[in-house]
Amino acid sequence: MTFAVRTITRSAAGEDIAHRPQIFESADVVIGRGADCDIRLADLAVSLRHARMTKVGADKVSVESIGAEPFEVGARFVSKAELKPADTPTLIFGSHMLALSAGDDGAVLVDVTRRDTGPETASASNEERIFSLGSSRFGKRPAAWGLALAAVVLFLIWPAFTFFSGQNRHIHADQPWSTGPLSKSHAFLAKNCQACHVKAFVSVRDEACLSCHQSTRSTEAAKQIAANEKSWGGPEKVTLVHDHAAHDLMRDAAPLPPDIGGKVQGLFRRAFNHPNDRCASCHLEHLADAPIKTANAAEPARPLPRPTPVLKMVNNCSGCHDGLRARLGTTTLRDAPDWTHHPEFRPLIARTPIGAMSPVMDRISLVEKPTDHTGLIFSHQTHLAPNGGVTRMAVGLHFPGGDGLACADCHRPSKDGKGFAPIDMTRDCAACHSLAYATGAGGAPRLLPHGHPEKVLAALQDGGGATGGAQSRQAPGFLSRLAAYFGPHRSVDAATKMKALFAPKGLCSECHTAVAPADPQSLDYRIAPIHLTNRYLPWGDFNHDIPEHKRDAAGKPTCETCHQATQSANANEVMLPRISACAACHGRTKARTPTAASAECAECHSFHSPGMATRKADPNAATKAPTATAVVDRPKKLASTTVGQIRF
Amino acid sequence: MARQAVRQANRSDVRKHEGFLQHGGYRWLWIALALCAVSIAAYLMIDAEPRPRGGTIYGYTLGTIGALLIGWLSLFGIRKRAITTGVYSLKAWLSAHVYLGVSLLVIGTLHAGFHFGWNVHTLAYALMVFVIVSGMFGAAAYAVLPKELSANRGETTQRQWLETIRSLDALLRDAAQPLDRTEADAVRLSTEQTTIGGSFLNRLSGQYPGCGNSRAISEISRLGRGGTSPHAAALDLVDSLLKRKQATLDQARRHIRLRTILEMWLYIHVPVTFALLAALTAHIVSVFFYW
Repeated sequence: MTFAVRTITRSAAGEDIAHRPQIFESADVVIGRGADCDIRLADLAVSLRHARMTKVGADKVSVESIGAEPFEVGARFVSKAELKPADTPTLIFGSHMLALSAGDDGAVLVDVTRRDTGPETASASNEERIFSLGSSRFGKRPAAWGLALAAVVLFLIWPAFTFFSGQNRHIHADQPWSTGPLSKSHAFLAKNCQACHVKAFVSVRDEACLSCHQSTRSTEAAKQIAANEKSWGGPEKVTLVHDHAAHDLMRDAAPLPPDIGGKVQGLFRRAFNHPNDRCASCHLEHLADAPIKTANAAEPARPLPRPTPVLKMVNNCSGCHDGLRARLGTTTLRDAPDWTHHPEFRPLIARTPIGAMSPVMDRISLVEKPTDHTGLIFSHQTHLAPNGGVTRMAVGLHFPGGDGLACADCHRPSKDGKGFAPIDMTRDCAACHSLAYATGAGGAPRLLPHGHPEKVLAALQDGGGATGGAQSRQAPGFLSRLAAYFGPHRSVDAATKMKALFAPKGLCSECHTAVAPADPQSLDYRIAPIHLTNRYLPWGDFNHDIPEHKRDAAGKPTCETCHQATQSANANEVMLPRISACAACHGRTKARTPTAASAECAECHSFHSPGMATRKADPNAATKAPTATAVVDRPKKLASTTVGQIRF
Repeated sequence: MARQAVRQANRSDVRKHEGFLQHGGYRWLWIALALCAVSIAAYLMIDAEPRPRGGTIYGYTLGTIGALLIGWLSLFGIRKRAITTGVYSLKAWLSAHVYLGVSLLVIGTLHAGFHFGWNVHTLAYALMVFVIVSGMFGAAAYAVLPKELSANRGETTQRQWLETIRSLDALLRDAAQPLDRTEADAVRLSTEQTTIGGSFLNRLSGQYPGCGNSRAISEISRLGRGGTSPHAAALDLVDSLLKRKQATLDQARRHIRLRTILEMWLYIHVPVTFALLAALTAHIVSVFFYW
């Protein structure tokens, strides 16, 4: 007995069943798939005649491939192997395993086992994997949670963390939160979200805006802000704004929402802590790339980004000023629902006679024909009468125009041209109303110190002897008139002259109310205070420099169109025009009035600079620095510090 | 008699299959269209300065509607696991899910005011579009493919195909026993190297360029057949078995291809929905954070 071949199969219960061995008495056996083989392996991976096993000694067998196909011994593919059954070697042919061992009587025992190769491809257990994508490596759940986690971490947790840890100046994790670009004027804050969004979940508050824009802050604070802005590349010029009114007044003055939609909106605003009386309610940011509509569709669109934030008014002027008194009982303002119902002008009038330096001022409607208390004795009528003495004097003095006094001879435009410089006696009146009382060195006249009655006596004492004499070019008959006051003799003393000046028909009393001293021996004369109102309408602007305001179609000055100066004999008369005079042009159509003008509130008023007209939009604004109601220049180099609400 | 006929007709109507798209006489289609129409009309009527955007009252309204819709649509993943009937049947839900989901495309776009940027807000929008488009693909697939799937399958089942292939493999192994090494190796290509499903691309295209069974067929035909010897008879048998296996494989693979199309959109629809929910949360929170 040389070879005993035992086939081992596995039962359904998983137990190995060793079949009765097949005995081969030959010196060799052939292993293969072929029907003629001794050890038949029904496996297509095995050749028909694969190998021959020969007994080569008492305890040794030789296995050799018959064809070119090798077999496996000890994890190596070989074509020939000499093995000792005593070592229990294992040969592998395809899916079959031949375990050799030494049998009884020197026989070689060969246990043939079919290796477990796992379920077949088409196994029913693979059904789901074969027909469905469900078991592929990329499951839905890992992808879903992975993506969701990535989005939450990247776009929520990280930005919030940098905000609360104050690192978002350096780590701009909150940039993806931006809804759009900032306007040019604020672009320098684009990566400094916290400059405006100071507190999480609190809408942008006015404090954040005012930390740069407040007009009333201290110079020192302004310098620090400027330096901080500069360090962030911000503008050196900033628009400063005034409060239109106290915040609580504005809140109470605003009308309630007229419709249910507005009321619901209001409820939501309150619930979400997003009031619409903030700066940011009207000045909308993150919209710098929003198209700028032009009046003319054919006009090319303005370049973007916008130079300033978008302005979207929550309430227009009439929204609050119509019915204002009903809502705001404390106001002294009259309701102004629109231009046609604009209240009559109510100039600021000195209500009491000028007895003190600070008169009681009051707004009195022109309807009441208010009388001012200027303290001045002056008649425009006299000065402008065509054939009057003043006119003749002006002609004699060769005043410009040659036909008497004109308004502009006394009223000089202010620096900006919008209004007029305050009347200065020595400049505007003294050409006629000479204050010369003596001839000084070189023939120049010596002038009484106007505005300083207390110094007059000293001046007269100093040069009192030179009255009369040579006629001067300065003013007609100036010294001779003085001589008339002082008496026929040139050598009157200073005290007499002093009394003559302040006497009822004296030089000073021509225009002023002289106040004689209580003590008849005293020379302490005084002049009653003068109060010339420079601006009668503090909340409305008027620009005298506008061509239509200045000159008529023929080029003649239009002063008298509004100010009836030739009819005014008393300086206390208020010569403001009624609002109807404005309405002659404003609110008209071009077809009706060639000089028609807008009736917009902004023509005379503005929100942030009360008393000033709203600046007209500059057609080149987009390419320029932001327009400003009031612009302050900032110092250029300053240390960076923390100021107010802004964290730089 | 007539009444009975009517009753029968009614009964047959009731039994007639109504797809999720047609559910309730297109009820949800009309609701979705009405929602879109109202949104578009309001969008056109409201003059938002300087441009329509999410930050206006209308924008917030649309945003709220959109967010609630997204939340509700996402719940379908939970809802679908409970199959019920009636007015609130799963089919009704699916119908509403599809039509309201598509209307979200209009609502979301109007909420954004046609304005997009590189930010979390547009990210949420893009993910939403991604989800909706994949969902539209899925709805279209479900409207068309089940018929094809059924036609391809006939009266057989997936399991039967596997059994057929398995038994053919066993037959092939037996039939190939007399074959020589080269021929046996060709048969082994079929029995050992045939993938039924394969990669995603195989499944989607239905193309299996390296299919073991096809290679086995061409290999056997290359090796030549004919004659009347037992060997030739074995080869003939093997060849016919391989071709039978090929026919079954083709049918199974057509089935797999259709199922892949039916399933694959969900691999975008579901994970991107999760990403959308996360991005939407970030979008909403960020708006209120930097209020």
